[in-house]
Amino acid sequence: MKHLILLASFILITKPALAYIDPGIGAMFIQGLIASLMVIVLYAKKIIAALKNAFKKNDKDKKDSTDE
Amino acid sequence: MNKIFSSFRDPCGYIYEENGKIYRYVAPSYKQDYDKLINSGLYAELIKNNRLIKTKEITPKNGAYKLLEVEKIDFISYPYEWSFNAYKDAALLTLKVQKSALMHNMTLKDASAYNVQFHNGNPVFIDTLSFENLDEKAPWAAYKQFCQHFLAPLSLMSLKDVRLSCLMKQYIDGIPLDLASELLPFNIPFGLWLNIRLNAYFQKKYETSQTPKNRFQNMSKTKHLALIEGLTQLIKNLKSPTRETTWENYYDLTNYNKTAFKNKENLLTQYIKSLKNVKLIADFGANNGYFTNIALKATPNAKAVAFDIDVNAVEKNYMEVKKNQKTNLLPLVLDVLNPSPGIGWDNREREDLKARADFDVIMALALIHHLSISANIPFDYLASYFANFAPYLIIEFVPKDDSQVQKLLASRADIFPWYCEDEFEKAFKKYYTIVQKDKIKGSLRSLYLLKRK
Repeated sequence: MKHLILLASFILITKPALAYIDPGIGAMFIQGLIASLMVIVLYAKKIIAALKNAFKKNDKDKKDSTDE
Repeated sequence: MNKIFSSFRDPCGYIYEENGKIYRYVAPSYKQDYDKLINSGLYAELIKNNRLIKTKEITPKNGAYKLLEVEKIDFISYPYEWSFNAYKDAALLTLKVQKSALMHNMTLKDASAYNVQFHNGNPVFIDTLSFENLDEKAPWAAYKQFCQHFLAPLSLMSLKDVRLSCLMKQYIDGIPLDLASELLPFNIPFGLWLNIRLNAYFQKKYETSQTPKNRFQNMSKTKHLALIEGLTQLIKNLKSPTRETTWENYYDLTNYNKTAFKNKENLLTQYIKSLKNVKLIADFGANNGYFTNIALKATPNAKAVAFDIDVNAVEKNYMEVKKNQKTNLLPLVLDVLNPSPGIGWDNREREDLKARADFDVIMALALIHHLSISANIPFDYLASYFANFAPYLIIEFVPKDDSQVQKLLASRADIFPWYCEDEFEKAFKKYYTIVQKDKIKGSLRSLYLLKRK
């Protein structure tokens, strides 16, 4: 719920946006949504990669200690 | 001064040609953004990475804030002439340029596919005035244009039919997303569903809406970068289409024996070497560029554009160019029977093939029978058409007895009593003088070097 409110507040804050080509209101709306999703996906990927690395390191440490 | 017609859309400047050189006029209204482009280091970074066309500041005149001399592109090509991977590379370049711009607190104010050209073997961004100061909270104004100019055509080419890039000829502002959404298969990657289907839905929803454009101020630099990363992954994941085409294995199916093939190579080399100051060659019906490369070997300082109707043959040629980092060859998709027309405002915004041609030599090898027998084009029309393009023409005559012509005649009535070498020469002599003519040993064919009258 917190996230939904945060997302809605992002969408509702206003400031002028002018361009010499028509950016399209629909496209302006959807790109905010897609960009937010992408941020989540990219952070999730980073976290997963970090966790995988950590596990790999742990496994390697364990293997090294048993080798000793 | 010859103002380039297509540059009328941008109020910040325009392009013109003078004494064979290309210049960009930078209007005083673009001062802040131009200074930021230079002072932020963005221009230097893009130039270093060969992503932006090189420009040189010269003494301004006519009230310009800056006057730039722009490196000349050998041949201006358009998205509907690019193979799938060339188009993909152009899209990825635009995203890389936007990413670099974001890192320097700037952004692309447009993302037109026409802002990319192929220069020395690589895609390069040509619009120096496309950069503006980044307002982090504002959405990317060029996002919709990027989807229409790149994402929609590429996904249609990849997932439906590679020939659908021809829609770009009809829609100068890019393929409408509702049309792309209709044409795409039901099952598409989630990213395409978001950027094309949902995008099209919201565009329609807000079409007549009075919602102020300043309402959507929910972006941040992180989000801008994430959007670009998402689009990059989406485009990278689009696979080359795999549909088989008629001419992609042409050289495996040809009736040439080894002697004839070698003799044709030697004659072509000899013809090209006999010409002085050859800078740009056009090869019509070039297939995978085999003979274009033979011509280029004969004149190492020249460049060539290899045109063919077969999308897979052009793709093979493009991938070879890319793999071998060739800087002198540009493979393009073109139907000689229906060459790219002038499109856009006054049919001049994107020029037709003739208007863009500044070739020194035209090659038309093993092509004439396809034009005259398959498409009923009289010799006279062919001669006058080719004479538009270059002072020299190297053309191969394929007689009726040749097995390839017999194949073409197998399923249709022979209504071509005029298709013979004498009539060919008679028609072409109206526009050209014959410099050299040779029988290709080991075949029934002849090769001609013609000079325009």
